[in-house]
Parts: sequence; structure tokens; C-alpha cells
Amino acid sequence: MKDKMEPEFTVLDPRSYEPVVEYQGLSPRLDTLKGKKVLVLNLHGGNEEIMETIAPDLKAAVPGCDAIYYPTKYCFGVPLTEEDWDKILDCDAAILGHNY
Amino acid sequence: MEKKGIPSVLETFDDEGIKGIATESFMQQGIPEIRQVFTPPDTSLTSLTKYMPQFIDALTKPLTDKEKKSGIYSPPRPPRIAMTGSYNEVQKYFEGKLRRTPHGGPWAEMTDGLPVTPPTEEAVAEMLKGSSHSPDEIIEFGGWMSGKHIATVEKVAVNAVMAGCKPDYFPVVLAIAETGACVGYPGDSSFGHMFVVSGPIAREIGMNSGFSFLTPGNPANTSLQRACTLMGINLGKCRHGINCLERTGTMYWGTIFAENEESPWELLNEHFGYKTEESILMAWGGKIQLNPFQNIEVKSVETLKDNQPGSPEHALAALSTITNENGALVLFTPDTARLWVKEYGFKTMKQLQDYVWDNVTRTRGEWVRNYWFWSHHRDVGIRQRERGSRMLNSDHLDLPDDALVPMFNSPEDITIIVAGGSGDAWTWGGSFGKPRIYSIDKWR
Repeated sequence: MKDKMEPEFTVLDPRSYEPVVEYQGLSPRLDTLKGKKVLVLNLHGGNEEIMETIAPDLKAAVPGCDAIYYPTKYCFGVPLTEEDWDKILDCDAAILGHNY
Repeated sequence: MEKKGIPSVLETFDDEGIKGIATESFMQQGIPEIRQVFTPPDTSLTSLTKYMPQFIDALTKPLTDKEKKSGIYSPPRPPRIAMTGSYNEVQKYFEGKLRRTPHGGPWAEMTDGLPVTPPTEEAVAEMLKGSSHSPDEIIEFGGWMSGKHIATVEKVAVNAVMAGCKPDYFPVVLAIAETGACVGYPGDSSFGHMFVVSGPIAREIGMNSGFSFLTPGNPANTSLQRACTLMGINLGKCRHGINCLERTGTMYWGTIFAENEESPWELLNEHFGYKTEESILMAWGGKIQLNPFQNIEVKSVETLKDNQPGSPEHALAALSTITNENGALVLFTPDTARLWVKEYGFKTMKQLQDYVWDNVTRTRGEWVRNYWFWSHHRDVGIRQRERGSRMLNSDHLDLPDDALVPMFNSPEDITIIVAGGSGDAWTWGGSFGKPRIYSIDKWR
């Protein structure tokens, strides 16, 4: 049972809050990867050598798919460059990662 | 990419923390339903062949109604008043539901694990008197690991009260808040945060810059460090095991101390272009370490008298062992700094920075065999030359294997600090480059 003499504290909340986010749905998917250009984008995080294996694997899995490996100019955490975006916008789909 | 109409899939480590970061990051960027293929968190993996059907599905399988949906997401905001209760009930509330992850914890929800000073309306109002800034002024927190978070000067004051700070420390707390406080890193063993205060406020609030300046016990140093930790948790949303994935953690988590003004060199506020009457906060984030000088022995030094204050030979031997090229820290007691001026002729910090930069080198051959060099700096030539660096760049790539090139980015990335008690001692270590500088006076 609580001691009646025990003082009480009204305390303020120490936490921040997140901003309002306007979100959007995903882009429509492709019917097939055959005849499409798929960019495998290496964002340089850690064990990135494995990213180099994805494009040949994808080509083998989908004959006729133009899978291209592309390492971004700078490492993970640095914004993509105009050159990076030119490459990205020239493709039909993208696989991105840095295996980390 | 998704926002520009390109169907995309993310390859992600099948690790709770990494998955959490990726999902949270895409949520904040307005693509909450990003498709992901989870691969084993195993850096020795050499093939993802068996995951090809998943990559193909992610790019071709029609979208669900949920994945097509667009809209506005308003995250819930915590109330201004948290609760009313006894001292123990307040502590229990802030400790919250102890959170575990598969590989760590438990962690307290809103504290560093210890009881806090109850942040009552009165205590917070008193803390706010330490600054002329409005309690409603917005301060943004967050970064690449934890996303953006919004706080106010009042929220910073709440955390400062909880940490045990006094109102006259508050401008320093606000400057720490401006740096982003103690937030997390994606995964390493010793990434941390360290701060040094230079200028009159250090004396005004009684910070320790002398004997045992790294040791708990001084009210200002200790409570400011704690405020940094609490702000990281509550305002920057540092969550160990989720967006702070340090495998061992670090001893430098908001470590803060003051420069010793008995330095024979220019004071650090002057060094960074401020006036001696101005107070600044120097902030380092990343791989922070300070090592005792005894860790480095050089053959030409045989006596304690020669060994204790170190020598340029010691400094070069020590700093050559650092694996990160971004920067270094060298810290002297005032007596040792004076001896280095007298015995070795380093009359300014700049002379010492240049000496270290010129003489801590790697061979070109060592550079190009370094894993981090090749994985992170494939365009090192362009990158470094853009930054005006004389470190390894594309010109150096044509040099013979045994040619020596500087190890650090620039002389400015080697920071010289004077702190500590009387007598000779020096420490050395690594950092992620030159510190970021924040005005404390702007927060008075």
C-alpha cells in the first residue's frame, strides 16, 4: 500500500516525434524481365563483392534479360550523383543493395 | 527509384537490426512497402544464385492493394505530460518495458538504465532559464541510421533535467543537441561520440580539464555525457540492436571534457577561428579511441624520463598503427605540451599537425592492398583531389609500390588537444577526421 506521505511528481515526456510522411505506392511491376534492362546497383556498404554475382546469375535465370552491374560513384551514405541517376533512369528495373 | 517510376527491390541482410533500419528508412522516405529479398547475414557468402526467383518475383509479381496505396502518415506524438506518480513509479515509467533483441539487451526505454531526476514542470522551467531560446524552438534530430525526428528546446531541457544537469550547463546541452547527440551506427565495434569544450563556459560551469578528466566524478562532465546519451535515446531515437548495431560498443559514448587552458599553443577556439572569449563545442563521431602512451615502445627510448612525455618518434610509431585514414587524435598534458615546444620545436599546433601528416605514411603498395581503400574509395583519386587532399589519389596510383604517401586525409584531420593534470603524459588514437565545430554561445 502506498505511503500517503510519499511525494508525487508530475513529469514531462522526454521523447521527440517523427515528421508527417507523404507516402506513395510502389511503381507497377514488369510483366517479364525478358528483353528488359535491369540495373544491379551496388551501394558500397560492406561485403559488396557479392553484388557483382547478381547480374550474371539473373541473366542465366532469365535468358534475354539485360542485367547490368553498376557500382555507384561514392560509398553508402553519400547521395547519388547525376552520373548515377543517368544510369538508373536508363533502366527498366533495379536491384539495389550492398549485402550488409 | 520507386518514386521515379522504376520498379525496385532491395537486397537486405536477414538480420533484425538491418531489416529494421531498411524498413524505417524507406518509411521515412515515403516508400513503406519497398520489396526486399532477405539474404543470410554471412559475409563469406559467394553466391546469391538461389535467391534469383525471389528477385524476379519482386520485380514482376503484381502489386497488392496495400502496395499500391498512397497517402499521408501522421506518426503518433507523445503527450507533453508523461505521468504523475511517486518517485519509484516515475523511475519505472521511464525505464519502461525492458526491450530485448535476439542478440542483446534488455535495454531501458527512456533512460540509460539508471534512475533519473524527475523532469517536473518546475525543474524543466528552471533548466530553460539557462538559455534565452524559446522552449518551442524546433531542433531536428536523426540521421542516416535513425531517420528524422523533431524535438523542441523544452524536450532538450527535459532530458537535461533527467541527466542531472544544472541550468548553467544548458547552453552546452543545446550545442550537444545540435550535433545530433549519441545516435547509432550501422555495425562496428567501437564507433562513438566525443566532445571537447573550449572557451570560458568550461570554467564558468566547472568542467574538469585537469587530473582524471576522462573519469566520472565531475558534475558538469558527467551529467553532460549523460544528457548526450539520454538525448540520443529519446530525441535521436537510438535503439541498440535496431539502429545502433555495434557488436561490442564503445567506451566513448558522449565522453566530454574541457580543454586545459594552460596549453602552450593557441587555444582550440582560436585554432578554429573563434575569439578566446567565445565558447565552442568540438564534436567527433565515428571510430573514437584514446590509447595510453605505454602501448607504444620505441627502441631509442630507454628511461621512464624519456618515455613518459613521449617523443615525435613515439607519435609516429603510434599513429602509424591506426587503420583508419580519416584522422587522428593526439592529446598532451600541459607539461608534456610545453616540453614538446621546448625540446622538439613545435611552436604551433599547425607545425605539429604538418609533422605528423608528412611523416605518418604508407607505401603505395600497402594502400592498394588495404580492404577499406578498395571497397570504399574506388574513386579515391577524384574524391580526394576534390577535397584538396594530398593523400593517396589517382596521381599516386602510378607510383612504384614502395613510394611513401601520407596516411591521413589532411593535416587538419590530426587534432591536437591539451588536457590533463600536472606532470607528463600523452595519449593517442583515431577518429573520423577533424571535429565538427558548434558555437555554444549561440545557445546562451
